[in-house]
Amino acid sequence: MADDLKWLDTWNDAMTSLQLLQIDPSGFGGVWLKAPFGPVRTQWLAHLTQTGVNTVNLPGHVDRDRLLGGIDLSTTLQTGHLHMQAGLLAQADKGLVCISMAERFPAALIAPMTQAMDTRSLPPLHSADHAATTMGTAFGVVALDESTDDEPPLSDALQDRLGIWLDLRELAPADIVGRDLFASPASSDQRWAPVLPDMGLDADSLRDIQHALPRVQASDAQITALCAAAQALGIDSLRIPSLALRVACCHAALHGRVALDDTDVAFAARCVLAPRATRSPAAESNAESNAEADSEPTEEATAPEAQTPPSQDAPASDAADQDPQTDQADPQSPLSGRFAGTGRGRRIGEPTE
Amino acid sequence: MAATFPFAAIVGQDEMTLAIQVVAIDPSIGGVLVLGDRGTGKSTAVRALADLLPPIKVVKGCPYRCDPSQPAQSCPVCVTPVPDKAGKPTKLPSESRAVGVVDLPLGSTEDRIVGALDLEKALSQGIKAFSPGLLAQAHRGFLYIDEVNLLDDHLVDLLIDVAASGENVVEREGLSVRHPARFVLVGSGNPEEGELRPQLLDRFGLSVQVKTPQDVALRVDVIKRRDAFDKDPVAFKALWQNESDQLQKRIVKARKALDGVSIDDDMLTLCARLCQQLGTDGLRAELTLMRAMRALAALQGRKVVKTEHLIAIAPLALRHRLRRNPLDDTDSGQRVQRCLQDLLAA
Repeated sequence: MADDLKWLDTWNDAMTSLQLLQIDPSGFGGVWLKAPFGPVRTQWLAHLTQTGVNTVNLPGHVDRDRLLGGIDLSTTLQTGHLHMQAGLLAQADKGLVCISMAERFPAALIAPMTQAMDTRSLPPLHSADHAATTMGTAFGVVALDESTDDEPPLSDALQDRLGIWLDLRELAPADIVGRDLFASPASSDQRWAPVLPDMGLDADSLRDIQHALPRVQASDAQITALCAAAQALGIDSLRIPSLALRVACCHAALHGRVALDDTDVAFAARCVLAPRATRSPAAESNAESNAEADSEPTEEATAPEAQTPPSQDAPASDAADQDPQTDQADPQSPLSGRFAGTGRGRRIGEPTE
Repeated sequence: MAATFPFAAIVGQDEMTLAIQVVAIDPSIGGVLVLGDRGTGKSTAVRALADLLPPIKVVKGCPYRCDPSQPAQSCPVCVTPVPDKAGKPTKLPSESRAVGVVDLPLGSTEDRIVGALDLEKALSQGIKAFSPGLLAQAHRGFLYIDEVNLLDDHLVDLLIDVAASGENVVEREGLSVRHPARFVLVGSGNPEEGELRPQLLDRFGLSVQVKTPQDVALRVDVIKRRDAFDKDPVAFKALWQNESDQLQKRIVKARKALDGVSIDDDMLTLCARLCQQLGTDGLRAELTLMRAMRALAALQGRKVVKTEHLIAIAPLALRHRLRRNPLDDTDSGQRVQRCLQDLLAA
């Protein structure tokens, strides 16, 4: 039973990640989705399509010109004048780039892509024109990784830039189908063609959330908790706590909060920090009180705040009223297994209106 | 144009920021190599380099950004000024342009780097013309190669050749063009992912090793600034504009003061002995050391190079030039410092 709930939690996080992608596609880099081709991944992707985020699919054989933009050969030959066409990364502006078999994606294309993610711009199309300026583009990446354990995974450079890491390899179709049944107990013949609950946000609430996102405030204690947690887990790259903060802010905006609360920090810790841990904080227990304090900083930060100010709960329940998908079970411990109450069950399949 | 993170707002990483400033003051030092883990701000610092550099005067319309006072001999566009009847050389029209900090991504193709046939002219007018590449854009500026240790061998060869000669000779696609390409190489990479060829290593004047700061307060500061920048790059840049301007002024002032900084013979002897002790190949190490110390003294507003400058610069200028000692796996920067301490104590 505990295992089932663990998978349910994983799937819940995967669904929440979709909503975060919808809210801020480029803000936290994107998602590294480790899952084999199958019903689980297909359903996740189907939900992604439902969100309506501008998504550009990159096949592994895409060439540089098509990726970054280049000469439109047919028009150029037709007209006798040079015609350039924007590349796929430019088309993905304010949206997503979805790379299938990302682990096999050539390094020569990953490099300009990560450069474009860092600088949020593309080199000018026409290199001969020295006055040409770069073209702005901001996109997130969904990297679908089918690698098995003995194969090299996604390139390190891209891994580092993708905020959320999801591992759905262990998820069985029954786990998510069960979810849907849980939501709307349908007849058994619908099991293999479940009606997809709409996980996307409608246009109005999306606009409100996106509008509120830049104003989400994080307290110093919360930022410190994220940094300390990253450090305790042996994550050296400073990009990661930064991405975790973005994810937490996005999560807060999704739930209608103007300030981060423990749920948001816990979500970021679970989806951004925990999968990258290079060491277990417990392994470092060399009687160092410091390390002890750092080991579960998110919990440490959560505990007092979650209990003391009752005002903290009020906005959360407000948010729950506004948004039926509010993640109510989340304030529980960020990294360990948790119970899934009826609230979570209700959330799972409930369609947004 | 996407905004870059302001240089003045970079927290910590003192060695890296120092090296970049020193090279900005005196490009003849020959570039910086930044080695370190992912997410330590290597690329951020290098891309912010443009902040430090005042605009330069270039010949109007020259794609190679030639200096109007002395256009490169090999520039096909700027013909050398012909003296007029009075014997005075005619002046070339000039304009002011920002110094180029050109990003060369790992997957760049050879034709993108060296330049290629201009397809537009070839197709529309039937003319064989040259379309300059990244090397042309980097002339009189900086060429930044991220993950330089993973660069393909044939591109490394090409860069080494051009960096040495200061000229890009294009013999391909029926073209035969040569144009000036004097640039400062800046590279960054993660040493765990691959070694750098010694020939390329030698082209870098200074080498810096960056590590993730282990102080939580510092890390929090980094995250906060990055977050503020990501939320509103323009406002963040405006907030730091004053500091950036001041930094640029300091660089400009230091450039002017550079010639006035003196190094006495004792100091040069010390440098020579240090290099001898460490067994660095060739005299490039001493030259780089001398120029970098001078630039640092100029940055600090000093007229004379002191021992403190040597202590600050020696690890940067020498660490990548040491012969590898299989019996001693201490950090090469520490080896330089240890040797210097011994010499100073003697």
